[in-house]
Amino acid sequence: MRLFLVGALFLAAWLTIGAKLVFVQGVQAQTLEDQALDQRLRTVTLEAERGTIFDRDGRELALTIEATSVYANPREIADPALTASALSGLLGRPVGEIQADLERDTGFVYLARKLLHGEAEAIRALELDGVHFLPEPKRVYPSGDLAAQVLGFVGIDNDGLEGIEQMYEDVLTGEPGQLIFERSGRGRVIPQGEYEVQEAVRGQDLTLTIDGELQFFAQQEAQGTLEETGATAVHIVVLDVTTSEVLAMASAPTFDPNHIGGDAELFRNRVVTDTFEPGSTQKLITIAAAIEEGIVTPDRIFEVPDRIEVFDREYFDFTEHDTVDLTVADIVARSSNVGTILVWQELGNPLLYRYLQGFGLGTYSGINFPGEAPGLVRPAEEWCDSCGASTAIGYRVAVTPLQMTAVFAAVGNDGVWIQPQVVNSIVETDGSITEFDQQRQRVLSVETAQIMQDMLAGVVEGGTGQYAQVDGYRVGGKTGTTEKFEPDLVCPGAESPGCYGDDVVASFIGIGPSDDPRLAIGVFVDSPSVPKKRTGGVAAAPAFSRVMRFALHQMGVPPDVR
Amino acid sequence: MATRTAPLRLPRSRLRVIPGRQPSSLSVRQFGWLVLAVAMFFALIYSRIYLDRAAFQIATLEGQIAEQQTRYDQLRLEVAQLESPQRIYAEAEKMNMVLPGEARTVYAPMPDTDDDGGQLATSGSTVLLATVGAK
Repeated sequence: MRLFLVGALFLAAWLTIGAKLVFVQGVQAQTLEDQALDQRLRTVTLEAERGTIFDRDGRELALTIEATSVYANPREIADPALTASALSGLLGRPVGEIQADLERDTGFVYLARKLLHGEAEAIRALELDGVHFLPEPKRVYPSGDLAAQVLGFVGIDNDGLEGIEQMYEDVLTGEPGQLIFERSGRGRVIPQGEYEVQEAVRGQDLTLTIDGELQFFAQQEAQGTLEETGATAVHIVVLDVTTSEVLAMASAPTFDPNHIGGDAELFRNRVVTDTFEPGSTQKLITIAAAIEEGIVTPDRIFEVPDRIEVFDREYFDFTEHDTVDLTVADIVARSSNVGTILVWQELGNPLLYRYLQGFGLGTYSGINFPGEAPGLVRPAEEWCDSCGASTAIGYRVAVTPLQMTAVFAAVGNDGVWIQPQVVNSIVETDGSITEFDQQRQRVLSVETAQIMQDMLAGVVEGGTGQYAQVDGYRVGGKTGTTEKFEPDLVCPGAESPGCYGDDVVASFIGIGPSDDPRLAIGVFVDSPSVPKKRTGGVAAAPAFSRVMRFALHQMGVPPDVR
Repeated sequence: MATRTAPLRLPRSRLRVIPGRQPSSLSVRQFGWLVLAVAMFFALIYSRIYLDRAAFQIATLEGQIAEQQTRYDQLRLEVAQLESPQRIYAEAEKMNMVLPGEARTVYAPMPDTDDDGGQLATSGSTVLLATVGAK
C-alpha cells in the first residue's frame, strides 16, 4: 500500500511536469519564442545621410559627415569630480557644469554632441569609465559664412531651420533605414541570429546657381561698404540676365552657420524677405513704360522745374535748379523726380500699374525661398490722387532687393523678365538630374529694352551714377536714394504715427556690359550714416563697379573695344 | 527390510548447447554509416566555428569600414575647406596676387587695316593691349 502511494505520487508529479512541458512547449511555444526574441532583438534606426548642397561649380557648401557624440552613464562613474575635471578642457565646458551632469540620477546624459573626429579621439584616449561614444551625422559648412543666409542651417537633429536647408528639407532629408539584430545578454551581436538591414535612402543633393567665388567677393564688398558708409546692413545681388540665375546673394553683417548664436536677425536672407521703397531705381519702369507705349521718345524735351505740385502734394528734385529743358534721357541720367512725374502725367496710372506688374513687382518672385516677401503694389484703382506721382518715382510700393534687380535683368535681357532662380537642380540618388522650369514673360520690346540700356549707360557716363564706371567696360545703371518710412514715427503736426524719417536706403542697380548685357547687379545700402555717403551714387555705386568688374573677369567677358 | 527408492528423476533441462558464434565484424555498409556520422558531427562543429569566425571577421570589417568612412568624411571636409574661397583668397594674398577686379585694362592705338587684316576694330579705334595686375 505504501509502495502504491509513493508510486502514485511520483506518477502525479511526472504527469504535472509533463503537462507543463506540453503547455510550455506546445500551447505557449510561439508566444514565449516571440517574447524571447523580443528580448534579444534590437532595432537601430539608421539615419539617412542628408544631401549635399553644391555651388554651380560643384564646390561643397553644405555636407554631412559622421561625428561623435559623447555621453555618460553616471551610475558607472565612481568619482564624478575627477571625471569632470579630466573632460572639462577637452569639452570646453566648466568643471562644475559637467560634474552636475555626472551626478544626476540617470543612466544616460549627453556631455557633448557631434564632435569632430580629432576632438572625440582625444576624449576616447582618456579611457574614462562610464564615458561612452555614439556616432551621429553632423552638418558642416566648410566655407564658413559663405552664402550663409542663402544656405540657412540645421538644428541639432539635422532638421533644416533656415534658408535652403529649410525650404528643401524634404528633398535633402532622405529616408531613414533600420538595422534589426539579435544580441546577447552582454549586448553583443549573436552570430547567425536574426539580422536584417533596411538601408537608409540618402537625401538628394542640390546644386545652386550661386558662384562661390563671386559670392565671396560680393560678401567682401558688402562688408567693406558697410564699414565705409556706417550702414546697418548692405545687400548685393548678382543675376545672370539671360537666365535670371542668382550668381551671388550677399548680405552684411552675416553669420557662420557652423556656430549658430547671437542675433537671429542675421539669419534672415533679407534680399528676399525684406522690402523697401525702391525710389529712383523704379523710374526705369515709368520711363520704359512710356517709351514702350509710344508716349515719349528718348529725345523728347520736357520743360522741367525743380518742383511740381500734384493734387495735395509737392514733389522736389534732389537739388534745386532753374527750370531747364531736359530730354527723357536727361531725366533718367539726372534722376529728376519732377521730370519723371511729367512723363507719368502722360502715361497714367493704369499703364504704370500694368508695367509694375509685368516686371514682377507685388508678387512672389518664384525663387522659392522661405519667408519671401511678395512686396506691395496696390491696384491702380485704389491709388489716391497723388499716389500715381509717388509711385512713378518709386514711393508707395514695396519691393525686395531681388525683385528690383530682376527688373534691371529684364531690361538687360532685351525686355524678357525671367523668374529668378537660386536652386539650379536636384540630383537624385540614382544620379539623374531634375531641373526647374522658369516663368518668362516679355515686358518690353527689344527696341525699347535697348533704348533703356543706352539710357542706363548715360546715367553712369554723365549722370548720377558715375562712381559705377568699370574700367574696360561700358556699363549702365540707376541710382536710388529713398527715405525710409518709419511706422512708429509721428510727423510734426500729425496725430497718427507713420512718417518718413532721416534714414535712407541708398541703392544702385545696373547691367553690364551695356552693349551685350550679361549681368545685373544690385547694391542696397540700408541706413548709411557717414555724411556725404548717404546717396546711391556715392554709397552703393562704387561697390557695384568693383563687383561688376570682378564678375565680368570671372566670366571671361573681354573688355570692350573702344 | 530393504527399501526401494524410486530412481531419481532429474528435471529435464531446457537449455541446450548451441554452437558458439564467431564475434561478427562491422559490415562495410555499417562502417560507412559510422564514418559518415562522425564526419557529420565534426563538420557540424566546424561549420559552427567557421560561421562564428566569419561573423567575427564581418564585425571587424564593419568596424574598419566605419573607420574608413570617418576618415573619408574628414578628408572630404578638409578638401572642401581647402577649396573655400576664403582660404584661397588668404593664401593668394600672401603670394602678392590680386583679384581680377584689381587689375587695370590698358589700351593702345590701333593701326589702320584692310578688310583682311583680321584686326579687332576699325580705323581710329583703340584695342585692348593687356590687363595687368595693379596693387
